Amino acid sequence: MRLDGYISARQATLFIWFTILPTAILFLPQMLAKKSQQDAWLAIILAALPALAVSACVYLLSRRFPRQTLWQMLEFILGRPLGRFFGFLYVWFFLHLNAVVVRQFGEFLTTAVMTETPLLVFAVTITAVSIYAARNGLEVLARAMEFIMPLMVFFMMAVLFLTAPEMSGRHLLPLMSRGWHPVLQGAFLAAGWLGEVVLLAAIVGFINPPEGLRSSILFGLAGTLFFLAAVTIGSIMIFGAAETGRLSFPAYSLARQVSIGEFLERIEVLFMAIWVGGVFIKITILLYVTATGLGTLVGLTDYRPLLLPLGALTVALSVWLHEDVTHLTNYILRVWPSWSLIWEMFLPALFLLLSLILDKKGEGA
Amino acid sequence: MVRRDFLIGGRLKGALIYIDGLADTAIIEEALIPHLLGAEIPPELFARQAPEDLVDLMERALPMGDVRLVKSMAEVVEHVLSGDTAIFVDGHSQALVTSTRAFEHRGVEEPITESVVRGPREGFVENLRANTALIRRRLKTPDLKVESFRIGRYSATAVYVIYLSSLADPALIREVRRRLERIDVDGILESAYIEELIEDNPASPFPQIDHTERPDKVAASLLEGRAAILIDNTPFVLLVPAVFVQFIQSSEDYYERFYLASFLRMARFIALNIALILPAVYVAVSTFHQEMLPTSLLIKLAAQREGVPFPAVIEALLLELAFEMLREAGVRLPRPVGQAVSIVGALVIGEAAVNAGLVSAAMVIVVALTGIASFALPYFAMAITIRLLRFVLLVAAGILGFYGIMIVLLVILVHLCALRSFGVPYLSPVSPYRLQDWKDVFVRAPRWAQDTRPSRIGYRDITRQGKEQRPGPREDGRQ
Repeated sequence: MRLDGYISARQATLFIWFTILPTAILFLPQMLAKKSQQDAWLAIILAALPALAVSACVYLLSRRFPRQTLWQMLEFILGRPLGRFFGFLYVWFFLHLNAVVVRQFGEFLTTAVMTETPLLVFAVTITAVSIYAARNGLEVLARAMEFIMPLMVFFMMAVLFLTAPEMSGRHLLPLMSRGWHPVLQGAFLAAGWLGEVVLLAAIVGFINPPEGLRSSILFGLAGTLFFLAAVTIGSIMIFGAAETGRLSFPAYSLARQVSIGEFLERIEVLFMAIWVGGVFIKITILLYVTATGLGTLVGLTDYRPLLLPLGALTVALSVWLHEDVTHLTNYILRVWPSWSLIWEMFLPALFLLLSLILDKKGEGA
Repeated sequence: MVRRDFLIGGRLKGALIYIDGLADTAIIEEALIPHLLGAEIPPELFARQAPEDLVDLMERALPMGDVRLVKSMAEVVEHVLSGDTAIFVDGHSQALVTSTRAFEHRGVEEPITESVVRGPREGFVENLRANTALIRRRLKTPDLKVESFRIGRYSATAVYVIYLSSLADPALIREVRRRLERIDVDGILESAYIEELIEDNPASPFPQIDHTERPDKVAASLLEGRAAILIDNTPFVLLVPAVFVQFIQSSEDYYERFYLASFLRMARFIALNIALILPAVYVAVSTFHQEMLPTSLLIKLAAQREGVPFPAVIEALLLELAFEMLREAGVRLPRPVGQAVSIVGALVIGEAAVNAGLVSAAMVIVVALTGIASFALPYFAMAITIRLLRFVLLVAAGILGFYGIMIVLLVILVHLCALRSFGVPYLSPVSPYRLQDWKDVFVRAPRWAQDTRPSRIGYRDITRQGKEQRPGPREDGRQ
């Protein structure tokens, strides 16, 4: 399939940011507070290691196979039949991930903001907009990121800054009162999320100049981790670890805490509005990657006709896979980390190892 | 059409053809005919009936500046229909054409659509030649190139593409040429005809080509590496490529102090946002997110809305529609009547509607604010686009609150990100991001800091001026 367009190294940084942060900030602080209590921030920092490992795999693979997407790399390394087999599995994994993201997004809106509107409304509308955006290709998506990212940063900084007076350091103590175990559990959970950086493998061939990738990865992960940790620490310092674990969306509740002079209050609606933008980018990235991957595998010349059916499938899966928010949360807590790390860490590392052992390289490596 | 037969130099049969009203009869009667009648023609000339004879005649007998030999009848017709005079000589298959164009046209006046407090008061007119002169007077360089086209099967409208050959990207000029040559319509009566036929995305609500009545603006655009398209019979000149931020800038930004200009640009930017989303936000807040408001304000608003028979979104749509009708009525009517209509509409109906409890006073304030904000945008074309999108946002806010607003805004954002104008991304230099170009986007940096041209348009010669243009005391400290 012919795909053109380039994204700059700075846009690749944003790509990493948007593949992880929009949903991670909604769900991770609460889950981490539950698992690791006041040491949640340690778990995030520990989870940086697997995230770095995943991106190192992607980076090294991209060095060996310049200007190639994940699916082309797989065929190179494993040969045509096996490569395509794993290619289809990856398409499924990303489709599944997208359905989970759409569901998470819908749950966030129906739980926190608009309780009377059915979830399907949100799933359909956001996916429809994503289909429209994905039709325009990667370059346009990268430009849209450049507008939404500063909004997210500005809003998070403002919320953290404005709630700072209510924060209290004693909520963070004692450090590791129950030993390493809860921290490691939390880190494992966070690693599943941060490992989504593996999506980079699908678009790594479009980064121009390719040398910029290393700094994109470092800055992208650093920025993501910083804000993830900051929001988690902020919530724990304000609500305490136990309370944070009980809140549905601590980041949202954090925004609710802002109150300046009885005029600027209840700005959590803005948080919702901005996060719609962030999650929209994440869903579009996943949709684009799924469609281009499937298009490559079945040998289409254009990925666009796949967007509508894949989008419809995403919506259907998002509604059908989980019964309710409890089911979803349980799934994310118990199944998702180990399941996703197979695709995010284990398999990429295996492929990299294979390409080294078999000494396979793409053109121009 | 006038045909005048005569004998050149008293011996050779000839005829003049011109169109009364398009050609300058004074020149023809006082200069052309006397010279032709009185020309001294040696007898050996015109015995051979060769084309050089006509050139010879031109050299001897025609006092005009612009005379040319024309070979085909079609060309003669074109020239005569444009106001020139054709001279036929007996026995020759060719003709001489001399420029006598002088038809009635408006004088150079101050442009109504783009008036400024400070700055030149000249505006373009309907006469193409006068317009090129206005530009040439500002850019006295041989690099200023003019390419001419004739577009329209019946109108045969003259269209000029003007650019600075050392600055404009040759690929841009090729593209402009290609798009103009593709046009095959019966008539071109205004620049908008051309605009709609050469846009990158004809289905977009956003204007992708800039237009102006101001020669100084055209000159400034040419200096940035853009190309101008001049069309006969209209004072509006098209400028390509155009980017979004251009439509919230005004020529006057460059004539006022940069603090004020920067402030005005930001004010317009805020006005743009207000014009786009204020009614939608009001509807979303009052319908779905009342908790956002401080309690005292909420109580006030609720008290006002008590007794209003419509939901907020219908109320807003009705008022917005009424406002648009009033505006339209005011624009089309003769000016004094138009003012009366606005006063009746705004004051009497608004006041009465609030008193009768049909709409709430807060909604009237919101709609009025939105109207004012949309008038603060310097470009009518952009203001109209924003107005239309406002209705879409309003409906979305009525259905899904802030989420609906956000969904529509995301669609608009993606559309804008995908839009290009002659290959230049519409949202550049904000995205794709070029920090060096930001000096002339939301702020207007002082002239001495405007060292470079916009990097996506004028990259052939990026340096705009000498180094260290910032005025200050001399290095050696002497005065």
